[in-house]
Amino acid sequence: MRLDLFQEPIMDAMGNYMTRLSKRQQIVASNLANIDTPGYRTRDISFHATMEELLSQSPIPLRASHVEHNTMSSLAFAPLEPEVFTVSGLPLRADRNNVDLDREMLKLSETSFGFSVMAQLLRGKFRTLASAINDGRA
Amino acid sequence: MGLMTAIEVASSGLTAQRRRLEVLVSNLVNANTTQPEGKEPFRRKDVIFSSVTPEQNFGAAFDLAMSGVRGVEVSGLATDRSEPIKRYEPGHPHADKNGYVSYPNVNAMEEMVNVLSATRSYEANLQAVNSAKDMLQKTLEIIK
Repeated sequence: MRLDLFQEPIMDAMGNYMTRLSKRQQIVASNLANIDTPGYRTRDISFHATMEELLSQSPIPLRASHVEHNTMSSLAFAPLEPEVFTVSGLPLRADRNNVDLDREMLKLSETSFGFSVMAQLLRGKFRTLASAINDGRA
Repeated sequence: MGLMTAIEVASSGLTAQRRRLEVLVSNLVNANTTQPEGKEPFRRKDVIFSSVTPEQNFGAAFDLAMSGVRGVEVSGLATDRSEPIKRYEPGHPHADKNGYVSYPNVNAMEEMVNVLSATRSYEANLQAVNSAKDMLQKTLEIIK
């Protein structure tokens, strides 16, 4: 079996997801910092929309006449610019601000948890590789 | 850049809330400060928050402005122009000719509620800093 670590689309996808999560963390931090700023509206990043877009994208396979040719299959996981939008449906306070502390705290732990999971999985990937390098010895 | 920006943004929130707390405490400690007749009595103050782009560098600031990430800063102080509270204390050295002393327009209860709100917001920002820090730590652990 050929293990091509740096062409593995799943690693790319995990990396992209982590980048996106850290972007989300920025947005949540920005919402929390502006919790008392008059007129500020809660912002968020669309995850599902971009995910659907990713899944609907069928990569056009390139023809490979040699086993070492790159068929660009990792293009399917190319990072899309995360879309920032203002969240609607949250009740406005008297100062025209609609940051909800509980919502933001939830997003904060959600993001942090997702990030931990990804980091753990990536670590597993590297462990596997390290194990292969060391002939199966830990 | 990534999680560092998150920490920077959250710490701008920490600074802003701390400054707000300072102003609120100064209101509280001056709740009973009187001035001689004819001089302007102390009036309660409050901070004005406005959102800013966190980075100084123009290129980075532009990128962040486009991405919707905003820090916060205290852009000014607002003075509450409501009337001072008059109390009848004829023996007081600062009493006017009718025996009334002008006390600042500070309501201790109101200030305490604001102090609580500032504390909570401060804690929320601290949580954001810690969370971003945890995430950075997790990234380091990938290669451990």
